[in-house]
Amino acid sequence: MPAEVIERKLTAYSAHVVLTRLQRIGLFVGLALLAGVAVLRPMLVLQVIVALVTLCYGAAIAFRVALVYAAGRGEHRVRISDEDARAVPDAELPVYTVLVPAYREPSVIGALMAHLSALEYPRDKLEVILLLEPDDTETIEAARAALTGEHLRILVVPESMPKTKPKACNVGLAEATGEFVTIYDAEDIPDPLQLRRAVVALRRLGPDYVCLQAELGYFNTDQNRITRWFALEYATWFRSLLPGLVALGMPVPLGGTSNHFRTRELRELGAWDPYNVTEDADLGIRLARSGFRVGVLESVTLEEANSDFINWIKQRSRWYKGYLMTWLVHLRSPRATFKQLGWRGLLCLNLFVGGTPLAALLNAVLWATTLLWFLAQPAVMEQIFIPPFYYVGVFCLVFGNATVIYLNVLSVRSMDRPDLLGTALLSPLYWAMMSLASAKAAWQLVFKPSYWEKTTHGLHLPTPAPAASDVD
Amino acid sequence: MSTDTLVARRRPTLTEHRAVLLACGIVYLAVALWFWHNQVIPSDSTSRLANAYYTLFSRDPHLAAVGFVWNPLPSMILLPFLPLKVLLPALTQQSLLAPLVSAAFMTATVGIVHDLLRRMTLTRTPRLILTAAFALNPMTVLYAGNGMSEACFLLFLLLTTRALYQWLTVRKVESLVPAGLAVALAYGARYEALAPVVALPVVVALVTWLSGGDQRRLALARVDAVIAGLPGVLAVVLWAVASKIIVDQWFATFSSEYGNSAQVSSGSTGISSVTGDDLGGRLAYWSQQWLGIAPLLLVLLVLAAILAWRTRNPGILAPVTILGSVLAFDALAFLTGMSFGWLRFQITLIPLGVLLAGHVLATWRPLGTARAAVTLTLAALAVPSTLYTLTQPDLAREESEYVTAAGSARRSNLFHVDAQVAADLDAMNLPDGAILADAAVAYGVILASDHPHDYVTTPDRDFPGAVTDPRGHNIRYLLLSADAPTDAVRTGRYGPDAASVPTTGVRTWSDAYGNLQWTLIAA
Repeated sequence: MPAEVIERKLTAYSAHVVLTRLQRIGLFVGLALLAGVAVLRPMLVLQVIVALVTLCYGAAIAFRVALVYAAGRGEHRVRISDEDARAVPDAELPVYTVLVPAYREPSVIGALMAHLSALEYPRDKLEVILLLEPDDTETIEAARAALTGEHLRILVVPESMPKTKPKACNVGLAEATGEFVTIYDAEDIPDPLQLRRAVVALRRLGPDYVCLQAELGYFNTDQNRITRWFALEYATWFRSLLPGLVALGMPVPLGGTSNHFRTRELRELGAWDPYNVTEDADLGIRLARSGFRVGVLESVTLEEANSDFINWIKQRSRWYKGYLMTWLVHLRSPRATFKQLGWRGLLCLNLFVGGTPLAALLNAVLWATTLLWFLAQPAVMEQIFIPPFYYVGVFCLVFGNATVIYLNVLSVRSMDRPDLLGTALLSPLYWAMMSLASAKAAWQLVFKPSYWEKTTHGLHLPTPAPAASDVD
Repeated sequence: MSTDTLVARRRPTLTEHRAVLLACGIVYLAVALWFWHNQVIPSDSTSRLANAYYTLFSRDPHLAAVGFVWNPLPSMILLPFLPLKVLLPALTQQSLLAPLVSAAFMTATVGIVHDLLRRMTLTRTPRLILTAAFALNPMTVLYAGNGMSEACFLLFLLLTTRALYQWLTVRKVESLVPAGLAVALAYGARYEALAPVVALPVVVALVTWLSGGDQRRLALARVDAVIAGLPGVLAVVLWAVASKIIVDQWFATFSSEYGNSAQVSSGSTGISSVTGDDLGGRLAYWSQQWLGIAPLLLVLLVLAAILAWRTRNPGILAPVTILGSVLAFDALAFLTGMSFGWLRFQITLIPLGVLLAGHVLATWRPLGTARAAVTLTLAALAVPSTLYTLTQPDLAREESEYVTAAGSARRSNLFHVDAQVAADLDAMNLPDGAILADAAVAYGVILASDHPHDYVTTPDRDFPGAVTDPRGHNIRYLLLSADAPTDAVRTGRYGPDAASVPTTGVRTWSDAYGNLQWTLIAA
């Protein structure tokens, strides 16, 4: 099945257009109405906005706590022991395709080969497809020089728009021969038994489960404060929030790599949306809409945590933009979404997928408001914040922030990294970075929706000496 | 073990648990109704209810009206039930809501004690006997039914104790979360919880540090201490900051003219006439109270400590840390002359004794019938002993006010006077904000009134202005207490000397013994 055919299946949910015509009209009419009422009763409009924002914000925090609580009650990750993973005879293992999209990353190819060769999986059942772009001759050359083994091949993605990671993955998927397929980024260090664990787990869980998300962690956690925050965030995400979604029977937005699929179902579903900049999260929602289930696999893939401030902002703003896109895409036909996902799915879509970037954006506004109040105490604010919502707002400000810091301290303990205590207590500074990224994301969503902020990798590597060269 | 056997094993204790809750619920409800029917609900209960009432039904309803002198949870918890006064006016006008809620809290507390004894692996008979020794102790029964904050405080202390016990015995870090949250809520109920707020993380850190083997044990101890301590510290800080922002005092209970310290100093002569005013006298008084409600606690403590050491079972640390730290705090406050030395400040002795006995039974091996009987007797002796102590007006100065005939007559008489004042003022058909009264003394009148909006009172944001310039604030009358030292309306007009209050105002009200209680004067 060629990539175009696969992609055609998701036309209705593609982020090619961010807002459908109906959504545009709705937005326009809504804004016009709001402006109209604002002229007549400006205070009322402000009060209603503050009330709605406060309630949504409070709901998003409550949702987060509910997820952590649900995750803490019982085991919601799939655990396959080393013995069980190794117990399957080679002959009974299916062909497994590993897609590795890469762009302008010649320096990490060498490491990639080492990490892939560490995978405990029979070579005759393994198919690794390195997906490279035609204009990226450096990486292509580096890959050609380093490539060893029959099971590895390079696929240069034909030039076509959009030139994105999901696009490349779709091209790879079209040629995949495996019964199962997964994606690793070029700098990833997967648990060597991960493929075997995924096979055993998916066979045990049965056909309802078409995807397993492995846990992502970082190999450079201790590089600086940003990487420590990032590692803490990931630990919360993969050990509390995603298992919480599983526990509550909600859709699971997938993470960028190490998601293991049944190939046939993935193709039927239309695979990745090449226009969505978080195609992984979107795919998680679409899996749920099709009635499939996603599990969280207890097996870690180590990635490179973004250690540079600017680079971090770029990456995070892309994620946030993607989450917002995904949210809008799946609200195109709310009734269908509700029918397919039920109220639980709708809660997740609004409070988690839409809620994560919006909360990050609102944080900045709300903190600024709080600061303004303490500095100037403008009388108009007393009018805008009417009592019940004012109290909810204060509650969110105080207990919301405290709760999230507290959850981070808990993550420190469950990661068994007590040295990260200070990092957890300093999380508010990390949230400020998130706010910045979300503002950039919102701006881009409007003006450059499909623009893919490429994350630079290899920042953990020592700077090469000028005379040395990566590629001979 | 299959799930079936688990269910089969759990069911009898579940049924037993429900039976315990039901029985206590019924008994405590009856006691609550008795307090209400005889109108002997303590004034502190009424005043906490009034604090909640102001936030919704005063002339100037706002959340901060709950006040900052007393920790807010016992009042806040009443808020959702206040609107029910439309259906049942007695809930607020006769303070019925306060005892109903304290009965519910104490029922839940008994449930926690029972559950904790089950977790200590006690078999049915000793478990039920010890649960009863707590539930039917006269102090427990009284404070279940009288609407005071003791029940709420005990519930959160025992929730903390249970979670800490769970952590000490199973050592899953998740148990520290409910421990931390519960101790924070305990601080919401009573400032004495400052002691366990500090003691909990300290003990947790010590235990983690002592049981860790590697060089990371200090770091682990630090994280565990933060998990156990953060909510409590946050509760203390937030309450202080909110208090500072709204009434410009960090800890109003210690610094306000209505607070504990002020009350203790103004009542110091009265206090020391009973308790003695030197350390020796206070120590003797305090020991009498202690021995009165928990005569053999020290024996149990020593026995439990020896057994804990021998069996290397750290569970005993939970009740000793949490309940013991509250006792220590209250003892210290009293011995240094900073507290009234009420008997109720020793109420944590009751669950402490029961849990120590539970620990002894769980760890004494071999546990023959004789040993079990001795232990249970040691714990159960507290019941008759407390009963005797409550009838001693010297030791149980507050409690004897409602368990003795003379005391309850005095209390219900004051209740009647307040209701009469409210009815008479209602009949005057005054406009909103016509009467100026200090909430610290007039809470009973305002609660009983059908027109609470008639009153300009302490939590109202224009109250300070109205005290200095009543006419400028459209006040027509001032309602003055006869001699309460904290009545800002009276002292604002006549100074601190109670004798200067006019005995002939627009109206006066006296109690059944002919003592002047209230004077209404024109502004």
